[in-house]
Amino acid sequence: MAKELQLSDEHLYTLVNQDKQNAYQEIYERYKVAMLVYAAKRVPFEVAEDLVQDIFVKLWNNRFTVIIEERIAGYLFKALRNKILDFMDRDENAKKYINSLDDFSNQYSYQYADEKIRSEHFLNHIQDLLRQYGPQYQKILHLRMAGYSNQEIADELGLSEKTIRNNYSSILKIIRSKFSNVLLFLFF
Amino acid sequence: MDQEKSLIKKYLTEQVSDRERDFVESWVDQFGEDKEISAEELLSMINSLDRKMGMPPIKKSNPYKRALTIAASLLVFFMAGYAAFYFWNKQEIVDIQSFKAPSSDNAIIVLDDNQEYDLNKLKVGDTIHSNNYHITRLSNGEVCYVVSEESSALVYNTLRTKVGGTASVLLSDGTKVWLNVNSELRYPVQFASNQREVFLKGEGYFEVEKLSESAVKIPFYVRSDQHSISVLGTKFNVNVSKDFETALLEGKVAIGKGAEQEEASQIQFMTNILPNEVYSNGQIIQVDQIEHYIDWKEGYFNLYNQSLKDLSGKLSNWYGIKVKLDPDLADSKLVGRISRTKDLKEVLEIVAEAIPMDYHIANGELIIQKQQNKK
Repeated sequence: MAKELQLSDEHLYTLVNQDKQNAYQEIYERYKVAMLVYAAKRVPFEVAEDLVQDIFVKLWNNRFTVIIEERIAGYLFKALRNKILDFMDRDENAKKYINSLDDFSNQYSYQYADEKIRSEHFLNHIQDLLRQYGPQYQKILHLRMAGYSNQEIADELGLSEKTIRNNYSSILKIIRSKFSNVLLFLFF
Repeated sequence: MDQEKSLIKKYLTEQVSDRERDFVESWVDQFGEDKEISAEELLSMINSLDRKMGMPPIKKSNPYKRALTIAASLLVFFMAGYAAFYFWNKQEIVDIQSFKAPSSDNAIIVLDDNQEYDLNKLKVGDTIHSNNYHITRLSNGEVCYVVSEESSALVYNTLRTKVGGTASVLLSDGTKVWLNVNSELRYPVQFASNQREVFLKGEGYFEVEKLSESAVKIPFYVRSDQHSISVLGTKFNVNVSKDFETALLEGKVAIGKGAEQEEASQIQFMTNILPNEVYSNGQIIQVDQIEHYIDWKEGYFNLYNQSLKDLSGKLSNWYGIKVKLDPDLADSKLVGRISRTKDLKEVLEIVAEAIPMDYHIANGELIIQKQQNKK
């Protein structure tokens, strides 16, 4: 798994086309959290899991036939966005979406005549998500729950202690209060 | 209003203008953005997704040496402990395995003449006859009452579930009630014209039909030995054995204190709760996921916001076994959900993945202890 860590998403995907499962797993690890977050904010949690699963399973199943020309991030999130819209379309309780769409038309202004520009705009949003919920996030979450201090986590990940402390103080608060007993348990 | 819905459909079938496409995409991209997802919820989703994908869980392929060493030593201790238990307590292991999940509809109905019928034996199309009414199981599996003659006297039946069974019944007004294990519902075969009243022991989930007689709304009362609920048309869960904990999904519910013998119309219904609120111990709390309160009806154990103590209570109830929980473990928090169709042993194995613990059966009791290993 180590060498895959160095490769770009696009390079990884060409390996996926060549049936390399490690590359596929690396793409999964890089994107799963951000995709879960994006989906879970819009549809129920269980549905979010299923939608993300569908996308990755399809990615692997079609590895011999699908060539991706754009950024992998854009490809995955556009597919996810489509699945979410599809779910909303089939949702019996569609009123909340209808109301929201109505409300939105008041704030919306049509700026992006060019498809490319629209795509960039969406990609920026995704980058923000990936920056916050990339593979680091899950590692930090696990290390935190395993009782590592900020400094130890920083050492493990090669980041500054300040970065860990600043970016993840909110996580720490939640974990500390709810998991303190489990922590104590694991580590004495 | 359908216009907007078909906008999403038009988008999906690529029948939109550029502007409409951008509109839908911009909308969904900001929709729900400020929804908060807690770290534990997210971690639970990640683990659940990893499991569904068959990806090796992070802990096992964790490259971090320290975590690995500790995981390995825990594993060694656990295996040593398990081996010891297995050899010394073969009997207990067998006993744990015998705690199966309850089958649904394992309950009895007691008629007004005190005749008892095993609901399990009532198949689709079968009928139990009594004087003015009969009980039948519809093709969709529902048990319902058919009254042949209008009569002014109230005739009561009782639906009783035991350990090992849940049940549901359709009452004469169309209200549907689900009973958890170890519960009892006493109800009239045909409701009175001016009020609907049932008596509950244990835990039940109600979907009450709105009813009115010439513009006068007819209330539905759920009575227990110390509390009562008044509703008009709503969906709620009541757990009488747990301090009359009432969780409201839809509609409105008014709660009052009043012993069973008191007339329903005389009771002061002092407390009102709204959807997504739970009344418990005299207090009202707002909850995010009210569906967790009907986890038993939907077939799973909800673990979010549950301590190990809470779960032990549920396990004890569901599997019909006394549980003795190490007080040091009582407050351990859980996340996720476990299907109630699993055997007790499987459930304990899953919980033990998150909270290291030892468990065994002794003297017919399930004993859960802190794992006996120190670094």
